[in-house]
Parts: sequence; C-alpha cells; structure tokens
Amino acid sequence: MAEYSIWILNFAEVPDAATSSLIFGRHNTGTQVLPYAYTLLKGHGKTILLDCGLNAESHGKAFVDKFNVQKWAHPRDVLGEVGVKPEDIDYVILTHAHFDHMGGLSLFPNATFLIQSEELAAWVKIMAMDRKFRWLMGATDPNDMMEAVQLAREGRMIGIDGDADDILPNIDVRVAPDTHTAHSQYIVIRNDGRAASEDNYVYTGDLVYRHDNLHGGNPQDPFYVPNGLSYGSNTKLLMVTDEIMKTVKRDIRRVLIPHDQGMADLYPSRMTKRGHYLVEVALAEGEASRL
Amino acid sequence: MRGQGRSDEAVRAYVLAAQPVFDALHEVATRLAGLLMSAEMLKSRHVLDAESREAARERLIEAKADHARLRAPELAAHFHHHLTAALEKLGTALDALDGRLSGLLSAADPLPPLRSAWKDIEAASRAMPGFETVDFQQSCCALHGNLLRTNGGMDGRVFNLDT
Repeated sequence: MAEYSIWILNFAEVPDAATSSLIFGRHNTGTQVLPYAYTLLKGHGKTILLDCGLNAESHGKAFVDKFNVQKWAHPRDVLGEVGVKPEDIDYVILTHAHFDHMGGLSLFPNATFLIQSEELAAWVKIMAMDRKFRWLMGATDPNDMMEAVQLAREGRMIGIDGDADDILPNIDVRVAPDTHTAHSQYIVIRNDGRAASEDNYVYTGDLVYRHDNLHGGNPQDPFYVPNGLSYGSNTKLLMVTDEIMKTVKRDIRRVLIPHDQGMADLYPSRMTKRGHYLVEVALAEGEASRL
Repeated sequence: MRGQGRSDEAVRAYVLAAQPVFDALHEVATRLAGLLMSAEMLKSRHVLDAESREAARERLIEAKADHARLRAPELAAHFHHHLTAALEKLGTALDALDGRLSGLLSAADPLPPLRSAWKDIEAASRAMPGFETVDFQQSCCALHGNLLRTNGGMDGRVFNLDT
C-alpha cells in the first residue's frame, strides 16, 4: 500500500517556449507548451509540497505579465482540487532557487522550507559578483532571497547539507552539483517505506524538462539529452540523469517531471475547470481519488 | 508639436541618465540581499562578504552622485520618486548592515529598509519601460520571442539591458 498520496498539480503555462530551451540542440524546431507544476504528497500525517511555484499576485506579477505566463492559479485553487489548503502545507522541499520553483514562498504561511545550503551559498556568491556576470542570476529574483532571509529568521528556511535519507518519512534528497544550478537536488519518495524500495518515485525539479531528455526521442534505444539550460556541466547533468533512471529501475513512469504535460498521459488524470491538468500518481490507504 | 518633441527629448535624456542609477541600485540591493542571506542563514563572515559590502558601498556612492545630476521631467516624476526613495533606503540598509556586522548592539535591522527599497525599485520598474528588476534573458521559462518584442528588440540601451 502506498505511504503517500502523490499528485502532480499544474498551475500555469507558457504556451510557446522554444523547444531548444527544453531539449539541448533542437534549434529552429519551433515552440512547445511549457507547463508549470508542483507535486503534492500526503501521508504520515504530513502534507508536503515539492517546489512552491511563483506568486503572480505580488512580485511574480511582472514575470507573468512580461513573459506571457498564462493560466496562473493561486495555490488555494490548485490545491483545493485535492482538498488541501495552502495553510495545510507543513513542508516544502525546494529543488533549486529559480523563480518558478521558489517564488511562492509567501503563499504557504505554515510551511517550513528545505533547500540545499550550498544552493543558497552559490546564489550568495553570484549576487556578490560584478554586474557583468548577471547572466548567472538567470531568473532568480532577489525578492525571493529577501523572503528566504525572513523565513530563516523564523526558523522556517532550513538548509540541507548534501544527500540526506529520511529527511521526512521515506523521503530522501540527492544533490546534483554543477548541473541545472549549482546545487539542485532531486527528491526520492520510497512509497513502500522500504530502504531498498520497489515502489519509488523521483521528482526531478529542472534536472529533466521532458521525457525526451531521458530517451532522446527514441524510447526503444534511449539516450540521454540534456535540457536546454544548465548553468553547470551538461556531462554532470547526464550522469545525474542516469542516477535517476537507476533509482527508478529505468521505469520512466516513476520519474516525476514538473515541466512535462506528458505526465498526464502516464497516470490517471483530469483537467480542472481552470484548464489545468491534475495527475494522480498514487493514493495512500484511505485516501479518496480526486479525479 | 514642437513642445511635444522637446518633452520627448527630455524624457529620453532622463531615461538614459537614470539607467546607470537604476542599475547601480539594483546591484546594491542584490548584493545586500546576498549578504543578509550569508549572515542570517549561512552564518558566513568570509572575505567575499567584505568585498561585496565594499563594492555595494562604492556603487551606492556612484549612484548618489549620478542621481544628484538627474533632472526629472514631469513624465518621469513617478519613476524618479521611487528611484530617490530606493536610494535613500538602500543607504539606510547598508549602514544598518555595517553596524550589525561590526557588532554594534544598537544597529538597526537592515532587512526592512532593504525590502522597502526593493519595493521602490519594483515600482520604478513598473513606472517606466526598460527598467527590469529580474533579467529574464536567459531564463529557462522565458518566452524569448515575446521578450524581444516587448523590449523593443536588440536595439538600444534603453530598451534592452543586455546591449
């Protein structure tokens, strides 16, 4: 029986992101819909969010307005589809410090946030660099860092140092240094509660944008292709991709990718009235389906 | 029409002169946010912090000098108001941070003026096109085609921070 109920919750999209930004080397091949999503876990008496999106009602509004992010919905509506309120979120595990994964800090008033310490340290270094290096800032908003400072003071922003097992019950984090960002992490959910799990999932953050990153468009003879934006090493990114695939015993369905709407085809899913997809990956004992 | 032309020219001249001030304030705020993160969460006091603090101070001094030379036309008054407020608040925040890091018990908290200054920077950004608070040029999630269109293409410093 599953230890956690798991839902992938789409909350916004960019309708025409360049394909080359998602899959390395696919230049001049048009655009694709780029969905934004976070993943909700419910189990062991805890409600956990993997990444927290962005806040289009405050500092994220400029981003949404300027870059054609469409269909953004507040977490009270997105989480409401599965009977959860933002106030119910106990923990948010942040894969990395980019705007669309960490920009929703203020939306979850009772949550404690977990991120790699070195991810923040790297951003501190970048923020101290000369203006000529501002490309490295990418889409990181200083506002999020100020919010993080406040949360740290309140004891609600906690740094993790490297790989960690059972950071929450049956949830492990694994660091991916020098890949998409300086210290991105991916999250392993062992949903049978066993150390050598036969029922695990990996939430990738932005280490993987698309299933094509996992098989190169050739599932019969797969090869790894980096996504279109790594601040670190593409080679290291591919090594981490292999780690992820080994973790899930090469079962691609168990790789939970927030930016791939194809997840909705791999599991039972439905569209909400706001036009977002909701994917039901697993249901814990006693949990009713939200489809 | 001639009056309109003079007005447009005045705004254009102001925008060109204000851009380095805005950029400097953005940099100072970003550095201060990083320094606060370092101090609060990473408990760091390493050499990078000192260098970054000195760089922030130097940039703020430059910004003050450039700001003093600005003459805001009426159309830019709203932007200028927020630019001026941000400049003052960043000075307050930097002084407070210096005090904190020097161990002064009486030092004020640098975070509130820093956050308030950032709100002014954001308000200034909204008041005038071409002054961006977050550089999305290489964002993984940016819509690059639209970005170039809305920012007026790759021509001109005023409308594109990367040129």
